[in-house]
Amino acid sequence: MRIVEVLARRYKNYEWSLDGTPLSEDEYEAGIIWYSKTGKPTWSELVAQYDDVMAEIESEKTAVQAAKQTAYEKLKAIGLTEDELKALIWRK
Amino acid sequence: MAGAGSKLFTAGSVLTADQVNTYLMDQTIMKFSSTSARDAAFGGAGEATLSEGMFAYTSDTDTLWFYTGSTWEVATIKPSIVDAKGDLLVGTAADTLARQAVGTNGQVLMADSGATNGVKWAGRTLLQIQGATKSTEFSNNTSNLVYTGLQVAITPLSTASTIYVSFHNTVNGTDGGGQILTRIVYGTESGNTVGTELMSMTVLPEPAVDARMPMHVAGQQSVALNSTSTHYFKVCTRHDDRDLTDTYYFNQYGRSLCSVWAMEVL
Repeated sequence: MRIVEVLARRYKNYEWSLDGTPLSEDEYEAGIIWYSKTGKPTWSELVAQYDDVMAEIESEKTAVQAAKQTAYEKLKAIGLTEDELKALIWRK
Repeated sequence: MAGAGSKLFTAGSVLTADQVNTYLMDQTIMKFSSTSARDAAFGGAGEATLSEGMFAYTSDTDTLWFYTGSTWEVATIKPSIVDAKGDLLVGTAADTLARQAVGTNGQVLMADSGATNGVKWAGRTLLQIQGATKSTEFSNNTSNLVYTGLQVAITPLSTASTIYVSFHNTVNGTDGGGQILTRIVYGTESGNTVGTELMSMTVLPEPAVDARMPMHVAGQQSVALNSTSTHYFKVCTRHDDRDLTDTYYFNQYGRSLCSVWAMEVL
């Protein structure tokens, strides 16, 4: 569990830092420093949002992959060869 | 003939003035009060002639000399010229010797035309190395300069030493909206207290979505603490701006073994 994903997505407008990758409330409390005056979530609140956030990340990844595949097919359809596509993808 | 060498006199042998001069006078060690008195004793009317192989002793400096045929040279170096274990004899000019006192442990002898003896003991001595590593992640979503949890403590052994600090770590962010600063700060307090800045490195995270490519950041700097108090060199990080839509990661996923090292050199 990377609870920091919840913080990074749901609490990005607050100022905080997190040392480590806490797996428990104690580890979270030991590692979190909340610089904003309000808004510090509890461990339970973060855990409750974790599945949704991970699903959101997976959905975004899937969308990116789908977009890549669509772009790939479109480029191939207009005549780019596999080598040209590789060169395009792995350009330096 | 000056310095006639060896002759065995037998009973009844006649000892001539020439033999006295060449076997005895030229081959004994003559004593003078000074080199001036020595030099004045030869070559004049009624005086002996200098010849190769003569020895003389001058009492003002307790020095033994021998004549090369053209000049007087010091025959022996007195042990009292050195005073301590490791002392050396060096030339300070043509035909001139002097004592070079031993240096301190670990130093090397270095040529220096500006030094009295033309050489000096110098060099840098590594007194100690301290290091610390961090293999876990640190996440930063603030423009405050924050301590990453990676620090090294060093207690200098000398107030005259220099502390060399080096570090390496990886950083990356969720977006390319700003710059990630890695700073090394130091002070006498451990932990979250941010001290004096020693160096700062800045990187721009990869802006592509999900790229999050970790970037290696390393640096090296030196400082003279002039103290023997324990100091802490801490790796800190901060956003360069207040774009809080990004989260920046130090050693994301524990991908690397981040480290900081402090070396004390005298």
